[in-house]
Amino acid sequence: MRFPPVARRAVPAVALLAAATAWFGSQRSARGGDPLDDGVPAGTVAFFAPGVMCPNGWMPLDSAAGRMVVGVADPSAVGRAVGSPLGDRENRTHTHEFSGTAPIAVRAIAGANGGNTQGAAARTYTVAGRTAPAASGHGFIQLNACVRR
Amino acid sequence: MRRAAVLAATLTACAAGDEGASEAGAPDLVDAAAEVADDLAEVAAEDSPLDDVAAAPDADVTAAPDADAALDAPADAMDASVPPDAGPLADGLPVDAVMYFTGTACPRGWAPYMEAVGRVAVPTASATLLGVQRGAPLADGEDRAHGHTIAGSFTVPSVTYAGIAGCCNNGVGAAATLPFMAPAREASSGLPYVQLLVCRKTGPTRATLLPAGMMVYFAAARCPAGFSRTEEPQAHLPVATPAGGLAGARFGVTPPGAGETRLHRHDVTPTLTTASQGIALAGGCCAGGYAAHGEYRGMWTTSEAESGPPTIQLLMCQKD
Repeated sequence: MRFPPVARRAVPAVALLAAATAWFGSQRSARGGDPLDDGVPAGTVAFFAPGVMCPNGWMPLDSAAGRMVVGVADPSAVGRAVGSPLGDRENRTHTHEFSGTAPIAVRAIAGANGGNTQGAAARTYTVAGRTAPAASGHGFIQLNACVRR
Repeated sequence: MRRAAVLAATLTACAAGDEGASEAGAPDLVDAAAEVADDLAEVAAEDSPLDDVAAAPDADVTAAPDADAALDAPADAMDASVPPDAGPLADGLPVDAVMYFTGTACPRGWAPYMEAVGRVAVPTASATLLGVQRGAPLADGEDRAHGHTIAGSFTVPSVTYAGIAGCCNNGVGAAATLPFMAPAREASSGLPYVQLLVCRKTGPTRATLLPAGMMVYFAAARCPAGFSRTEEPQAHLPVATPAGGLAGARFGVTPPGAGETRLHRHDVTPTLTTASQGIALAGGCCAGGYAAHGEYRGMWTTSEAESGPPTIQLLMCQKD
């Protein structure tokens, strides 16, 4: 294919522009700018150091916000979320229900039933309730999670 | 500057390589490439304020930051792992990097990292803990539950009646210290997570400008060249910063020491409320030892239990 004279001049200019764009773009990427190729596969998820926002070419992974990340190998399991996301620095607590019994044994008395109610009836009592809230006892760190586009 | 020269050489090579496939235009392409090469050579020869930055990729694969601790010392094998003809399929992540992916299959050059399946990766704080797993891995979508045991006793004081203990009214109870033991029903700790594909880099690596500040797990004992080990996340469970949240904030409790299992327990204040038993006797001497009607509250704590997610300890390194 032969380019006309004007096109012949345009070829190096266009090529130069593309090359320069790639070159300067790569320089910017070293400083967190727009990376034309940062060498990270699309779909990669990474945490970034505090103070470092998602670089150009990356975006926040909203589906992970307020969540830990659990690895899976089953393709059908990817993206499934469990639980409600944490708020900022939320040390999530939980409680437990409980129910048990406390038996009061019989102590017989030589008297009929009547109006003095100061005594407790002999029977097995149910004691139920809920524990006080407690956190898991772990330490956490919040890190920006970004996904490579 | 080196990139400009490489680009020029690439253009020339591409144009020359096209010569056999093109009938008439190849010489023009070669000429054009030569012009581009000249232009780029001029650009490369000029002093550039970005020259210092341009040196960064070299540093990524060769520089070895000073560090005393073995964990902090960068690996020195990265250069050898970068074949010059790695090809377009190679990416810039070092071998043994462990990363998450939103896709359903590991990229080429990566393999599923089964050791981290069903687990949260924790940046290790100790070389002795590298690769250490804690807990059984989560099943798909599992909200792991745990339970506790509650044990204590209620003290039920006594009352006396102006009568005689003995046969035959069995309605009233005996004063006593009543042991109480019950399970606290299993419940989730409520820690939320999202499942992502986890893969380990196994294939070739090419030198690229990985984003600075990117934090990468490694199934290796040392951070590769161009990465440094950071202290802040160590032993903490990483949580993706929620909207409006403060990145880098650490919260919860001080992370456990090496090999320590982090447990928790709950306060519990159960109440025993008795039913009254009416007796046709006045209170007083001398039939004693009968249980007093009332409300009796215990103030106990549950047994301890572990409730965090299953984990695997990996090295976390930050791209310089």
